Amino acid sequence: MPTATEAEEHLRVIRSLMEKATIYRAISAPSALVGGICSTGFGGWLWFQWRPLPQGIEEVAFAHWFFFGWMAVLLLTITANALFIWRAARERSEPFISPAMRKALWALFPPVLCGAVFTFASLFLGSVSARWNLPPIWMVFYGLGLLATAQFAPKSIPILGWFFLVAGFLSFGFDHWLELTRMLGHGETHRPTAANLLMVATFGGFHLIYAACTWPRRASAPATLSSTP
Amino acid sequence: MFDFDKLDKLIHEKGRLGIMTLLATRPSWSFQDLKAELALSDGNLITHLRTLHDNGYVTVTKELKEVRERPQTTYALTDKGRQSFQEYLTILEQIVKAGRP
Repeated sequence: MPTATEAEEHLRVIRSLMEKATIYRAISAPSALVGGICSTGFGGWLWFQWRPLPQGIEEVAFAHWFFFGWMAVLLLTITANALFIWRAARERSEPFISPAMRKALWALFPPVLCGAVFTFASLFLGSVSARWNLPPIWMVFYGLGLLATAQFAPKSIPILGWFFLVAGFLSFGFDHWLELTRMLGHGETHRPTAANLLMVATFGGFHLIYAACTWPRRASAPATLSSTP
Repeated sequence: MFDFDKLDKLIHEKGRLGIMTLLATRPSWSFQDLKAELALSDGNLITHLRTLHDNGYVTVTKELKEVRERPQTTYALTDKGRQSFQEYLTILEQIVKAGRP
């Protein structure tokens, strides 16, 4: 018969293994697909809507559409993600706000808060042109958020996080790239359009690629344990 | 008082307890992930999994994720295995309570 101390030790080992092994996928393939389609759709629409490229007064209108449009895409994607998580939780007879979800939300909170603060600072303290720096900020903090869940997320999530982080860092220099393009005589490229295309390429493109790579596809067949794995 | 002999000896072994605990956390686990998490040798892990399978605690499935890839063997708890694990936990908790002054 095990002693109380031995039983306690066993329970401690079980608890620690369970905590370590809990996997929480903050973004599923269907959510990434919805996010990718919404981003590509809205960004494409914005690009076609504002041709020729925005200048002067039109740039202000474009800035409004840009900010509120991308916020709407974010809300839509979050809603879809919540629906998919709720449906999956219901299928497993688990609560929607599970301990794993709480853990993920706590991990996501600091980067999301920082992203929100920088966004509002750009909106209220900066000029209209400060909004064209938002895509790199969003990419970096979104990437950090995904990386913050790496401890309990499937491997694909931190990989996606790294892609956003690196893309965000590279995008910070896109003003200089535009200047270089102008200098090399490849024509005018406006910051608003470039900012919008960055959003399409990353929040649209990366999510579509992520959805394609992680979409569940399996053909299972029962097997016996006689063979080695 | 309760009967301590009810404690499932099959689960109580350290290696198998680790396997049962991990299998209780997700719908299924691959052999490689179990091995990495528990730091057991291939031989040890296979032996424990075979014991659990033979006693009806674990199911084995070969999954083909990509056409060109080798099939991956995954393990999951059966209903019997899950129930036995829950009963095992309950008894452990009772032992802890009984040992408190």
